[in-house]
Amino acid sequence: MTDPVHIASLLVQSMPDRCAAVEEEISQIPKAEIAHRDGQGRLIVILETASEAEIVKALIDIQLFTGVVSASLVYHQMDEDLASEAC
Amino acid sequence: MSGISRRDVIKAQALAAAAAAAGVAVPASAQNLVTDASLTDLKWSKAACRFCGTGCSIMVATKAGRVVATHGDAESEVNRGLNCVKGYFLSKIMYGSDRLTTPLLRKKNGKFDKDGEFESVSWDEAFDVMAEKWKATLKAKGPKAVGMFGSGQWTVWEGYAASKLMKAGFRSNNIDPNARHCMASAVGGFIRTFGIDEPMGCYDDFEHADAFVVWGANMAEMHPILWTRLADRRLSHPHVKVAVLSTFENRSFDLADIPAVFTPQTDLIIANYVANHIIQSGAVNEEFVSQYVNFRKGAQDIGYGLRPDNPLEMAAANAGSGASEPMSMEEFAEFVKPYTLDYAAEKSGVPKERLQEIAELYADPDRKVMSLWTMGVNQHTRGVWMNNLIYNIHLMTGKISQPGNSPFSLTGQPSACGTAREVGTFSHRLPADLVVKNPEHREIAETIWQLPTGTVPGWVGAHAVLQNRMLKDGEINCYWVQVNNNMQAAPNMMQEGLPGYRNPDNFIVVSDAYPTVTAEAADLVLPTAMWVEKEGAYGNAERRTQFWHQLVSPPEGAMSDMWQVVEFSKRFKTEDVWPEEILNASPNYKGKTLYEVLFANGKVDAYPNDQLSKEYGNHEAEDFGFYIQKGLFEEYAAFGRGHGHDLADFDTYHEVRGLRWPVVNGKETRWRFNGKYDPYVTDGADFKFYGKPDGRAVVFALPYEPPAESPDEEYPFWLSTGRVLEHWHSGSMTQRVPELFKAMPDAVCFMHPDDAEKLGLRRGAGVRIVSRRGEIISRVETRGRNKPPRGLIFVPWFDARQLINKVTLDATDPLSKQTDFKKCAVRIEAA
Repeated sequence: MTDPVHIASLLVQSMPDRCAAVEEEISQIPKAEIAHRDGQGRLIVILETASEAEIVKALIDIQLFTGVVSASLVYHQMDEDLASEAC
Repeated sequence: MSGISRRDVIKAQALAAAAAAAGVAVPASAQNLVTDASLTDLKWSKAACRFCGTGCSIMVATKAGRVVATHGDAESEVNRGLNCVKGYFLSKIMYGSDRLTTPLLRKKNGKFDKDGEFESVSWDEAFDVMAEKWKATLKAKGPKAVGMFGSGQWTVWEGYAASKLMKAGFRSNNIDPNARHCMASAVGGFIRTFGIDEPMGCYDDFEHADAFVVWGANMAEMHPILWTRLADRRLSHPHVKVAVLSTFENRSFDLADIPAVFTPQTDLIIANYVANHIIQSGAVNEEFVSQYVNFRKGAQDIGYGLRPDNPLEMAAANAGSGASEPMSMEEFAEFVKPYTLDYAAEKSGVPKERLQEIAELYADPDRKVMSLWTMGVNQHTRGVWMNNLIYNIHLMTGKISQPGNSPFSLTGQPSACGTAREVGTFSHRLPADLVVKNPEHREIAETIWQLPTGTVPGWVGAHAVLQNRMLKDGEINCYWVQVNNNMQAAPNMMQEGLPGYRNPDNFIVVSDAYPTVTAEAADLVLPTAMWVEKEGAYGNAERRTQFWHQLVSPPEGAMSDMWQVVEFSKRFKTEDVWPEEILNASPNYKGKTLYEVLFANGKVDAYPNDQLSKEYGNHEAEDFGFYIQKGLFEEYAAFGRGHGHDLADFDTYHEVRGLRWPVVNGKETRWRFNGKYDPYVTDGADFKFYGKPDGRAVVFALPYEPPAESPDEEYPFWLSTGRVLEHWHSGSMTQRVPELFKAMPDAVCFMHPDDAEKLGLRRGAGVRIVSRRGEIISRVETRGRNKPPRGLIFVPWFDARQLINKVTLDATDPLSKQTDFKKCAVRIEAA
């Protein structure tokens, strides 16, 4: 067993002309990775954090970045045994 | 060795779920992944979100009798798998450390004492004391001396049971919901213009509109899921335009093609300018107007809903008047003629080009327009007028009741529509748009309720603000508050709220899950089951009725609001509450309890418990011995079926993700008043506004009138109050979610940096916000999400340690009786 890890996905809609700047800001968030971009300002961000509070902080921070229209949390799972192999 | 870790699998699931929600093609269904019980060992069930009026459907996971996770429901047409941050933390709102689990009564020396301290008592003792107070008051002063304050967060059957107990049982119309603070002006607008409540369109309009005009709202923070739908439309269709009007720059301005910050109250001028522009530019849809519209001129100088001895009321020529007289289209054109572009720009402070762009969105016959509004328009001393003026624009251009052409009144609470409005928990209403003043409507209610003629009183009861005044004046002496925190929410707390609760003549009961500011001001507190601790139903802003099952048991000791109301009714006999003439005329009601007359009446108790779902508990049905939610719902639904408010049968709603009424022959209605979609439009007509006897909606001539209080030398700032993304209303639930509390622990005073500098205040400095009524201490915020113009501050009201309603003014719309929380005058001092 290891410490719990929280994995979450966010759907972020940014203004297309500000998307590059938004991506830059998101990349500054520790353990945030941009997993998908649709070229029209929509990003899927995967977060891996040690606590739920960090997910919320990231979600609210992103929502308040200039150029972000909306950020929604879609999926969240906590797990304690991430290193093991999938069956 | 597969080389794939659990981390990879979970990340893949997270990505797939987000991709599905975004509409990006993915091979597997996200819903299956997320709800696969073998993966998570959880039981997933649907429920409607507990927070705003959007009505998102939420998948709720339970494990060992606790809610452990929630996520957006991918099968929901409303939110399509998405969830805002508040919705995400729904699982935690029930588990605050200070959850109430026993009734608390103020006592000294072992008995009730208004000045005593709260002590735990049994439910029996609580109801004994309560019943004694109610009976004594009813005997001494009659039904007008008891009152109840409920909520747009009541489930459908909670509101119905409470309304029935008050209006038929205690024969008192002194029942009002906190929706009075929220949607009353919207209701007034609907009834005045269309003769029937609630939006004609629906959320499908988001995907059809070519333009969105947001009037005085901040959807990005307050309705984030709907904002996502609007943004999707805007960003995937470059021709689409978004206009955002507000008294300060907020998060919704990021998406705005046409941003407009206007001086408070001048929305009335802007709306009349748009109407004038439509006429002057020849954009009136003559064919539509000639067939479906009447013009009327409304009474003016109608006052501000203050106490009658207030100088402003005494000076008003037509205080409280909603009268109107017919006029011609030509006379209407003359009426709006002074609202020129120059005049509108001068008064509102919005540049001319922007105003013209907004007007052109409506005037362009090839552009479908969705107007959206909520508290900025409704919490307004001319809120009904403002609703009327927005409908004017849509009616004159014929842009209504069609996909994408939609004046859409957004809702603040999860069941402001489904319960407060449709069930008729307002002091003047009965179910399905019936009103207490109309003898025929009372007769319909008495027939469905199987009660003697004359049981339901015809007098209009006290509305929210009047209830507080009557408590202070000692005219209402027994008062029961359920599902809301009105001490924190209502205006002018120190002068009009608290004095009534602490008036020694009054006995105040508050039902809540947590010790709110209101509970602390009460004499008796009843611990309440919340959200999925009971079977429930809500109705959202697009007329969608949604059900959920009881998914977990309430904590030991807490009971639902409906259980409380029904159980309390057992303590009264008809002789205790009804006059002799009614009982003599109908002697078979003598000797019966209100429980027998109202609830075990052969209809509400007609559904035995073997009809309950085997998968879920139901603490009320188990206690009363019949499927009480089904009985209450089916009796209630009889009011609306066949009258334009048709609901489907009870069991259907447990299966589907909600249906939009009227539901006729199993089919929901997306666009009312339109012959293509609405079965109530008959005879092959294209449109029929059937809420009005002649099928025509009304365009109203209504002028600009000034606010009740404006800044002056002594109080030089406008104060506007409202919400923030992280917290809902008074914060009694969201402040108990540690993550949300941490994200936004304290309210702040948003102000312009130049104003702060002029006052010598740095960001973060303590300030005293002072009005003629009271003051609070807050901290200056000059950056961040809200950017007020010079001369205006914005303070959110979620924070119980910064009670901004000590400062606000209890001026209301004189027609809707809804408070204007967006405008009063304050001064700012260093603290």
